[in-house]
Amino acid sequence: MNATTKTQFVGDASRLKSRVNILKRLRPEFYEKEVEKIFRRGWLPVASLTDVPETNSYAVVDVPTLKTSLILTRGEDDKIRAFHNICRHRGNRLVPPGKGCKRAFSCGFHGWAFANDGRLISVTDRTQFDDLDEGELGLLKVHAEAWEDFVFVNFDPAPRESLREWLGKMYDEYTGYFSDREKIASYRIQVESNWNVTINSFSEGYHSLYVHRKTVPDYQGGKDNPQRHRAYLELMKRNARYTAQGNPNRKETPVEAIAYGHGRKMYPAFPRYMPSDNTVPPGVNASRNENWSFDVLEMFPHVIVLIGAHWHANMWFWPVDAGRTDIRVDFLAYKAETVGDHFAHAYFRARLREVFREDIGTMEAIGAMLRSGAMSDIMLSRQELLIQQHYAAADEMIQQP
Amino acid sequence: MTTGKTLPLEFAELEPLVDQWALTNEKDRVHKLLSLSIQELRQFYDAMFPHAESIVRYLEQYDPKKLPADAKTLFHLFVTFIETAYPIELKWTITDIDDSFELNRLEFGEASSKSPI
Repeated sequence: MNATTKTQFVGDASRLKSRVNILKRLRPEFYEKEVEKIFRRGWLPVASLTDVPETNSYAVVDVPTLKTSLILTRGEDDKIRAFHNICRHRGNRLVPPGKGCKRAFSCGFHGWAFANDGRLISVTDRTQFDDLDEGELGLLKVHAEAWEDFVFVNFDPAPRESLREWLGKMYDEYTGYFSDREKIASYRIQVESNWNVTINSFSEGYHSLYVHRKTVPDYQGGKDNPQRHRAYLELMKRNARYTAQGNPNRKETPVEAIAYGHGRKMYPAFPRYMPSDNTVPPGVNASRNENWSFDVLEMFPHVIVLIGAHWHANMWFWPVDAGRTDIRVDFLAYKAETVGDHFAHAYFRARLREVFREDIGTMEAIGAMLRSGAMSDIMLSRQELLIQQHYAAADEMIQQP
Repeated sequence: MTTGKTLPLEFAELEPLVDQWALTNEKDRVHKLLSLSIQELRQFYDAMFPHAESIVRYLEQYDPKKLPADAKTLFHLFVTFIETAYPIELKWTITDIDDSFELNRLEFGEASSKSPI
């Protein structure tokens, strides 16, 4: 019998179930509960902090789940703020899609202007309004806070938890790891599949031997881990993470050798992890595996972060309705300084994109068959504990009054 | 139609590839790649590969933000080679695998549709 990696399991699995009723989750009535109890109450990552990189930066972000558009701003005071993208005069969408740098936003309908901290600063032909209290007519705020590379928002007028409470122990475990990165690829896709099904595709590595056999045949596994068990898997308050162990005997291809020979090694290669490297914060490669290739972090409810040495990928799975998901993906890498760094970026971008296209490729077939109603329950192994955790966390929030 | 772009003199023999292959961004490169047969892609790979190390040596003398125009064209040609090499190196018989999500349904954002330099 082959030896195989034994997963180190950490965290409380007592509330998890290996059999989950998925069929009920496809129903619009259930979806409405998810929107009201999870998305309208939880802290949601909405953007990468690199989308609002400097003072007076702004970015418009659509949130299809809550049928709104947000303006994210970084003020003169460097504070990150979020507002509903609606003019307080007649309700026009204030800022068109996009991002840039602005101190103030002027509505295209009648010219009302708002500062990037939300204050109403100018009303066209002001004297013609009888009862106008500018102090009350600032942009409508949504709670917003930055954490590492993310901007989080909370749509609850009085959030039940602070962001620190929501993230729990991981709040302090990624300090600085995602800084000094640049966005090197971005994609958006709409798929006909329930949002839970789509995010589930990224929170286990059990599929890699099959789904990714053509694009990355030997990046994981190998003779010491033929079943590709996760090296480490940790359940936190609602979030969860695992470490994918690389195959130390994988073969580098000739172009990969050229691209990474003049820049830094990234997916599907991995630099050997040195346990003496204490620049890596405790949440990254938490078990200090020397064949660490990347981590997967699920930030409940709808975000996956793939975390490697010198790179990470942010993936948003925004439900549009019970059967459709708006997927947004950004690849980020260490900042390029030399042409060799650009070669490394290019190689990494193409390889990870092709793997990602395979993952997305599974979703509509699963969505369609589940919608048939032929079966109600899915079966989840211990290698799929992040999925079990996802549903346990969802059910807990849905059951709250 | 030709772009009129030229390569540094040392790489003049690659100039016939420029119009089709010196693409400036990921979106254009992947669309080009998937429009070809594996045989057509292999011709590009085989034409470029023997020059790879000397191209790298040539480009490495520059700060990427200050590439002269002909070196920038060489850079784009070479990055297209890097981004389109995987079907050849993974020994595929087609340039796109059947069960991947359809490329035409992928919307490429800003980072994927413009040149980083």
